[in-house]
Amino acid sequence: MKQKQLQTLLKSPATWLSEGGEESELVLSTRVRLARNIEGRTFTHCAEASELESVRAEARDALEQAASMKDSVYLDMNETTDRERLILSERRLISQDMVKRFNNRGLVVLRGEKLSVMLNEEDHLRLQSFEAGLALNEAFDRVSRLDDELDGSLEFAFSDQFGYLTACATNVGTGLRVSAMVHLPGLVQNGDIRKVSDGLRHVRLNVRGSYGEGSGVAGNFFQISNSITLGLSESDTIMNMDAHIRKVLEFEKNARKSLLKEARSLLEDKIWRAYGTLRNARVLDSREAMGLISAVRLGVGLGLITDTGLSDLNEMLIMIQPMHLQMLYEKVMGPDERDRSRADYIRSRLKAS
Amino acid sequence: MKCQFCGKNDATIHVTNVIGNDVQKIHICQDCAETKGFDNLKKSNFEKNGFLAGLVDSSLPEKERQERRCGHCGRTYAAFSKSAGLGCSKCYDSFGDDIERVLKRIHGNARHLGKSPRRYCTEKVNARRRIRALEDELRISVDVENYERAARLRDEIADLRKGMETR
Repeated sequence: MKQKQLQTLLKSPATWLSEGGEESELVLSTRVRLARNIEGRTFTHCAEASELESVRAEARDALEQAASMKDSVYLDMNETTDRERLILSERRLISQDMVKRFNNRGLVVLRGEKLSVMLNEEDHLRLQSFEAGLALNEAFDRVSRLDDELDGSLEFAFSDQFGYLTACATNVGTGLRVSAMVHLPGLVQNGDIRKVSDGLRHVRLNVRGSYGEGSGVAGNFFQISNSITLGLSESDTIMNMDAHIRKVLEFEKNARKSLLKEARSLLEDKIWRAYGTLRNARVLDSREAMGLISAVRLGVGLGLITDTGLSDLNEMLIMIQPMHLQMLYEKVMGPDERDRSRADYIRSRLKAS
Repeated sequence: MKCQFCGKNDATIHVTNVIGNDVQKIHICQDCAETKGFDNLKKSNFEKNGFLAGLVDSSLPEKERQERRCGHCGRTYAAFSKSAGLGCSKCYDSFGDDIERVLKRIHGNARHLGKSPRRYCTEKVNARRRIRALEDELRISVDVENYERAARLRDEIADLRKGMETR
């Protein structure tokens, strides 16, 4: 494989991380994916190696013809190391499942990582796009355009009644999953986060703590996504989600306002202490670092901290993950050494800016 | 329903484990789920297998359930009912009514609205889809006794039908 291509891809952060975008103080990123399968072929989890192989080749050919995927890199997962796949998953380009089950899987990534396609994951093709900030329409348009380009060279499994047919009944219909990564320190602080996530579940949206190693919510980051894919058109799904997410953002803004009003000095103290720790600590585990970055992110959002920016902090959230740190320092590190390197890296980032 | 563990909070997570003939039900609140390690369960097995297993309860007699399989890929009904996972696109036909029931439970309905591949975008298909959407609207209008709107919808549907026949 083009080892060098993978290295170049991974060395620079994804462009969508640092582009800002609408509501970027509260929304890190938007992700949209479409699940597609090829008519007449066995779904991935039941298919033999030879069939997976030919599905992958067919999909790859079609992707090479697609105008949207010009200037992209193809990765044969069989030729990647465990380490490389873990890095790809930290960047959210491949799923955790694909880290473990990689035989006859593949990935095609557009430079800048705004658009990518997983081959032979749960479905034959998983088209996904990322945008900075809240940009549901932009992300959908991008991925839908690629879908249109592929339709024609590939015959997608579809039924008039059930829509796009998928390996799991939960994705059938549009095959569309829209998610936004939101930062809600205000709602966590005032305790309303539970109410908000219950409310979202009522309108059939999922809320999940995010960016954590293992379980538990770290850094007040949450992922909001739709759960229904059948009986609701793509445009309605997006319109509904956009409205609900904006409502959540309004709650968060109000929470921040009242925190400032009622406990200004306490809040400011917490933010400045976090900033001080990040700029001076010598050992930081992942969880602590995320909590501190979250507080500083809030400080930037409130206009208290001006000498670092959201895009720096967003990039840091990716780079302080275990595999990225080891890539950055070009060596294999145990947890203790990683915690030291994490602190070093953050210090250097915050000094330079 | 209260949480089985703390007995205080409302249970918001309901797990049904089916192992062989053994059915185990767990009702648990968010807090206890986190402390008792059900949170991991939720991420992996629970959403995919435990949770979805409960969705397929067939009306088919036991014997037929054992023997039924997809003619195209060979996936058995038993495997499908365990995880709501399909083997190939033809399974959607092979498992007939059960699929429809499962989809209704997951999504609240079993009728696709939205994009379709170009090969399906003929005028006739579009008209048929439009008619189905209008029929849904008509039912709602009748339910809320908005007969004026219902009459308009009925006429529109009739026009579309006529258009399809003459084309």
